Amino acid sequence: MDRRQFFKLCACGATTSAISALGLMPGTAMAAPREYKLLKAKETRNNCCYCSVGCGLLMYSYGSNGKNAEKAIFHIEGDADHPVNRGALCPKGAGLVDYVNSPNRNHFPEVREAGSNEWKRISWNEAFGRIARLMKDDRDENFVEKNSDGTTVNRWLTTGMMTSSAQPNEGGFITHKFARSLGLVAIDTIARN
Amino acid sequence: MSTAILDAEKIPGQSLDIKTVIPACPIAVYQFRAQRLAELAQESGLAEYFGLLEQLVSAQQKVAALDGLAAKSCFGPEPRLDLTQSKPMALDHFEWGNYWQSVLLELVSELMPKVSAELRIVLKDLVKADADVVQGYAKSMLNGHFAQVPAQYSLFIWAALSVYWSHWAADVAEGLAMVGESHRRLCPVCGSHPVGSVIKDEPRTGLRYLHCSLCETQWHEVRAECTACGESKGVNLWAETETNAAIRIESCDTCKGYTKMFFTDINPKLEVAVDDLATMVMDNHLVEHGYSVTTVNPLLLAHEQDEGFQPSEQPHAKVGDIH
Repeated sequence: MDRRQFFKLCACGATTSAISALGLMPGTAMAAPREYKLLKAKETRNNCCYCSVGCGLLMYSYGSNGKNAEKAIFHIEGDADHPVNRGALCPKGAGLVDYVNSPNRNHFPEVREAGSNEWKRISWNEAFGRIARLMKDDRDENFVEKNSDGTTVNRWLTTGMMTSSAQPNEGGFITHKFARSLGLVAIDTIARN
Repeated sequence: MSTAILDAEKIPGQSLDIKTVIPACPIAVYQFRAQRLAELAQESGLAEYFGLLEQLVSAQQKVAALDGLAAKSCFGPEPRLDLTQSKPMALDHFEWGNYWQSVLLELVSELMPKVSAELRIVLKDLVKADADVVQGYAKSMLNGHFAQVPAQYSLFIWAALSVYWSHWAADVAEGLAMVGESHRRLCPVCGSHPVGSVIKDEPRTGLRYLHCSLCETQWHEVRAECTACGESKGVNLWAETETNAAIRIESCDTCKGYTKMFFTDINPKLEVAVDDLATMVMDNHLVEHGYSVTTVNPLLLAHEQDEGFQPSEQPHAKVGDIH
């Protein structure tokens, strides 16, 4: 950093700064006290999706400059301005950055066939097809239309559903309609994990 | 480890509500600032200037601490304010008269015996100048036209204005805090620009307050948002370390402005105006990347603004606004 740069910084053309006008500019070339190497991180506000409380988060990531640069979240903290969590996070929330960067995180659908101990990668279409097939078979087999008194109950007790916890009212309404119309009784959210 | 079940009434009360405005306590602000100036003088590379600033801020503290008759003759009668309008102490919103000039005289007489012969000449010229001319200088500065004021006077004029404004601002800020009134870009009390962002430990860790460059009031502003244009997309933080950096710069890709953030929860010694001045080398980095500063530092006053530059007076109403 040379003196010209310093003038540019603190004086915008040495005439308007009090430092130089009062004759208090260091006479020799201004040496920067030390070098500052600045890292640039993107700051984003978001919500934790791991339970229905929906705590506010501030997330910090790198690599938002270039198109091909890989983005990486390196720090997550509670959002002090958020009316719900007021900056605090629970142990699950405090470990979010490790979830995000976990090597064990699922990136695609996998299946472990009955009797096997190996996980096999499958396509999304295959996964949807299998889930629908298995649900249909199980429901056809175990659906309870009437109870012992002959009253219509339409229950499907052999399958349960784990839903998302961070949903708005409308999402919850649709989820509920979907599950109940199949006759599902056991519904829960991932908030209980 | 033992556990005890406490009665609800016995748990100490804790208010986590956001205070929209924190009124200034001028004496404490100036004392803290003078202390920090002394601490950073050597490593700043501007030891002489920091020395002068320390004298000036100490003088501000002395004048701010006047009470009784002395205060009355210095600050004059309480200005009549219309508290129903926003920013009641803004330049055009009340008759601010020229009592601030008696503050200036007090400051100068405090400084006179302590400064060099060259500076004594400057100060003498300033107090000998015509009162109307000096009043004109003050008006220009309050309007943000720093270039219209001789650079050797600007520091002292602003220091006096600041003492005058902060003297009357506390009550106004108190009233605004009661009703939860705030303003996003400019000081809710006097409509001036901020010096920078101060991140606090109280009432919640991590809250951001902007510190007024004139009346020393602090007002709350949501994090992860540009303090100049309010945009939340393209907000970047520049710092020396990934986490726990005590000084960071928040830049905005929308308006190309930047503001420094001082995390007092990480380093409680940080003083917004002094540490801004001491880290000007960081500004260089941002200026090289095409950003420009959106704040005003009362100890520098050199951030020349284009005549056309006026941040939007009215905050944008936004969905999800928690104010």
